[in-house]
Amino acid sequence: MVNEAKIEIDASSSLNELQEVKVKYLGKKGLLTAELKTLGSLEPEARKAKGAAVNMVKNELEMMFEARETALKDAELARKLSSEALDVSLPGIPFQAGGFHLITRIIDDLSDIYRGMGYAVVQGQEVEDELHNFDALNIPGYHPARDQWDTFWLKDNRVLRTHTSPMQIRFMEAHEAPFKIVVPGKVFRFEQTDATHEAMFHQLEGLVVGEGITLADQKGTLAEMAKGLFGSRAKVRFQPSYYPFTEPSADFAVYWENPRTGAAKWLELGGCGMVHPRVFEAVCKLRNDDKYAHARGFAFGLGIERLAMIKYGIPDIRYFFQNDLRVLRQFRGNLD
Amino acid sequence: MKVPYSWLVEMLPDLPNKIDYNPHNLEPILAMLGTGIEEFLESPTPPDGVIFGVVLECTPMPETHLYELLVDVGDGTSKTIVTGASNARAGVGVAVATPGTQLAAHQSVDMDGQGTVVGIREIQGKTSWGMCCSPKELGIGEYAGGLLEFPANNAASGTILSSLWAEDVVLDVEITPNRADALSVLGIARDLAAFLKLEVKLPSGGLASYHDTNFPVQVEVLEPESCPRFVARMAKGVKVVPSPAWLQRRVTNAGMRAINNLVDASNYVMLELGQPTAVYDAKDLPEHKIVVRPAKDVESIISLDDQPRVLTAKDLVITTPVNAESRVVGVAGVIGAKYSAITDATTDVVLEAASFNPVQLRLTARRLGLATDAVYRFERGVDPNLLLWAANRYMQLILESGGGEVVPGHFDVGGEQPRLSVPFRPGFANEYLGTSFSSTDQKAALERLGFLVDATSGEVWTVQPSTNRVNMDLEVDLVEEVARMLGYDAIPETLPNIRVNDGVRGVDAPVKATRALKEVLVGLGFQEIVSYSFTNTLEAERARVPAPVLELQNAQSTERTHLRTQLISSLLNTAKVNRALESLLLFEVGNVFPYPISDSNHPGEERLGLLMSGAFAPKTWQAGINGGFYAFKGLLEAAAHRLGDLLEVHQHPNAPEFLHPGIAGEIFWNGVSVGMIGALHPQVAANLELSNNTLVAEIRLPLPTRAWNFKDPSRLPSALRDLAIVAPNTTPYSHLEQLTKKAAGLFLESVQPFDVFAGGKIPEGHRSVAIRLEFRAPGRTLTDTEVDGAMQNVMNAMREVGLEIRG
Repeated sequence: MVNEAKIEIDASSSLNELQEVKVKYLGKKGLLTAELKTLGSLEPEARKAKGAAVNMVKNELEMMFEARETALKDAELARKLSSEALDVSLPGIPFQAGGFHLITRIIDDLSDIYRGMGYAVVQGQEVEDELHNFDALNIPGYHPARDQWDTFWLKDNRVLRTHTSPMQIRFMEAHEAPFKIVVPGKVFRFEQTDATHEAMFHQLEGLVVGEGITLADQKGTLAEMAKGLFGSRAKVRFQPSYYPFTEPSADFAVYWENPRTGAAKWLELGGCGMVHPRVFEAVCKLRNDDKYAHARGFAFGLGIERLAMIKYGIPDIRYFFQNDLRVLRQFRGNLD
Repeated sequence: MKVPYSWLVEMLPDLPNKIDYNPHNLEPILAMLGTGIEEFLESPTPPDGVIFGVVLECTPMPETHLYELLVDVGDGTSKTIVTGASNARAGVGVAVATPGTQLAAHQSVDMDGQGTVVGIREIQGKTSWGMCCSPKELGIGEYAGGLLEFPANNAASGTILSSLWAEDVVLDVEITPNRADALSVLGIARDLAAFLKLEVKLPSGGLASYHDTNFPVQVEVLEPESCPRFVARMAKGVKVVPSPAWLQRRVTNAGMRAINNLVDASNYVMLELGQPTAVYDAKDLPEHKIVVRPAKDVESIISLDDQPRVLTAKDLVITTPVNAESRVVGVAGVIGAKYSAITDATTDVVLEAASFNPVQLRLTARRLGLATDAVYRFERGVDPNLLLWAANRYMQLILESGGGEVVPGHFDVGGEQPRLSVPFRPGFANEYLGTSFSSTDQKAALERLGFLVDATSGEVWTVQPSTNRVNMDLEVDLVEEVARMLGYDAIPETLPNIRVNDGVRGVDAPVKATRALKEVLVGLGFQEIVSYSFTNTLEAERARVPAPVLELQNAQSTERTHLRTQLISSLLNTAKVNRALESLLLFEVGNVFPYPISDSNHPGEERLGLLMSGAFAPKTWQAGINGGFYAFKGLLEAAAHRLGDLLEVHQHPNAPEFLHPGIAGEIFWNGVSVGMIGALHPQVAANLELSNNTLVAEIRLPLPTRAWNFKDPSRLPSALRDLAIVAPNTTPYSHLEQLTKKAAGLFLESVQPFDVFAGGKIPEGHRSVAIRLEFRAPGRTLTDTEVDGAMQNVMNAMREVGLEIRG
């Protein structure tokens, strides 16, 4: 019987067929069950012997059924898995990847560098009055220094801020020293547009006011910024310059080795200096107190687009605001 | 400002040695002084073959505009040369290009205009030997209306012209507005000398003079604050002739046009010393009297350039009495009157060297639209003690060139102006700069600049800056000079050692919040854009956004006349630029200016604008994922949830015109109305040639925040119940949700719609909204009775307002 059963078990090609075979041998009316039923009519000696033999056959059959069942299940799973296979080389659903504008990335990088040095990042306003954009910054209307800023005037006689510097005044009007802030934002110049000139661009302003601040502190701070932006080999250089709201004034340049071209040179990035005493005087007048009467501090500003163009080799400043996604999407991921 | 290198070297004979005889090496040195060089210009010499000649005869050729010249070309030889130049005349020196001279093609602009080699030519029946040249033809200057002219005695005829007019390098330097002292060759030389420790060889002091109260020209200044000093000198019997070659060369290379000896000398003195002067024909001052007074309100003159000029009481004028009338001969420091200008017939001249109020002068010049070299210097501040030197130098120059006699003495109103005294502490300089310059070095630095330093009283010195320096009245101004002289490179690098005031902690919360918001949006697939803040009325009209309010006085173009009122218009422009792309998810954070002019202090408003067009994920070999309103809204909801905030949208009570009237919502962020969301109006989409499937939203920043508390998650099972409500289409889902929440009691945890449909057995104009309610009680399991009761309350509430519950 075992041999016959084995042939049938091996021949069954599905779990259903196997079940039928199992019923045939081990079911209530199965062949083996029938054998067992005959035991009752036997002598005790013979019953014992036959009983043991039948049980052996039963165990053997059960093991064979189990083995076959496992094999069939494995085969079925293999078939199922094989039928579910995908071509993983086909592209996925094209979800939008998203991305920051390059200007935001640079402003965020700079903000992170300054936050690391304990600065707060604040914003000013794009439409300013003449007082904050010029007069309080020691740029009176009659002074030729005004000519340095080609200005958009509004019909209501306000201006589109020509620099982020008015926020120096506004912040000091509202807060007391000591403090360290940077102010990123849009600025506007009445300029003919070309590859390097735009009527609108971004600046980052910095202002630190506190006892004992020195021009050396300004230089060290900008050196930290340069290293943060361009790596530890970057250096900072000061050259005398003139801004009505700082005295002494300096232009600062960063020595940078371009990792893409290997070229190294000094890049003029912005202006800085010690806050002019007349700026503090103007703040005292606006605050109507003497909290800034003997204050000392440094202030600096730099152009974001210029930095971006240098660092990433962008040939034309107008790319920044045309919002062509073929351009914007290039500035994802690690840009260093 | 253009500075010829040879002129600079004349004042600094040791300079070439310091810079390896290479003028380009001046660039880093001047940079360390705060003077940038924009470019180095090569100023050439006239071509080989050009000689100095003297016109002996000048005969107009009948029926032509030409002249036949007989020119002495040296060695006793005279040649006939035909010229068309209107300034050709006998008795002047000219530049003769001898036959065979090679002129660069672009330089031969007149005559036959084509040959670059000058030859012997037949012109209108005359044999012309070579050619008389203009400065442009020689490549050494601009065309100025005729031949290059010299005094006849400038050189021997036949002299090679390049020996009179050597090549040079011209430094085009950028002088910052605080450095009025540097607006001359002498000024640059002095700064370089102070920095490089060189000697300055000063230009000639000119014809020495003295104040003479009986001087033949008397000057009266009515308002000394407008004119602190005025010096008049006089020369008689002067001839108006061309300037000598050496002077023309310098004036030309410095960017001015040589005209005649009287005008050129004035310009020369300004370029050399920095002091502008004015020259009057003495015959036009019949009483030899000058009165400096405010102009009358209103007074008009014809200026040198033939323009009528209307003056007001705010302007300062130079006048002279003529027949008992006060006649204007010039607008002080700005422009002369045509009436008293010198002419070829002038013989006696009166020279004005004066000092004017820079502010008043600037305002006058601006109003008249005149930006001359003199105005440029005056408005920045001219040394009031320079003018006598300038007057004396002028007299010397015209005497050398034009002969005649200089009237001894001068008339001086105001006299020598005193120096300021500024207290200065060398210790403060170091404390301010973070340096450790010795007192000796600091004193020497200030003295090299020509400042007087009294260091006898120890820690606080008294420094008297030279009068050529403006903005030099504060201690910090002197600190900058010390730093400039001792070198900005000597400033060390340190970091501020301060602790910030507690009052400024947290001031960057809005910037941080905006950054977090941007990061979430980028994570959800939005691309950030940055657009111009400008717009124009037409653009606003086409996008149907509120009409722009803030208008520029000086717009650059018709495209950029106003400030935008809505970010949507910028986003739509960007969608248009990127029309080729199937799916767009864009956002911008920026300022808009929708406020009326009457709100003149409004700084603008920061907003977030969003746009979606096309599919959320475009179809490829895969089906893609639909865009549309609910995808767009879902992205916003996800952003809000990511920030821990709640976002709700309700039917907009007053939908903006650029939105589809049926797809327009008001956004509530943590319960506060912050903006709107909707589908672009099909008409706007058509105006801008955009797809109808464009969705936009605009939200005011900063967004309201929400208090937050930790909640223990419940481990007990919730009870779920479904309910289908038949409601008119005009009843928004949010209304059903509100009714449900109000009626379901404390244990309702959430409500979610899971099916919305119309048609079938649902009456026309209605829809069925199926919602799933989830109930949970803290700490225990709710009984069926409790939940059924709550459901009954909800159903009752619906029925009370006339809504039907489906079985």
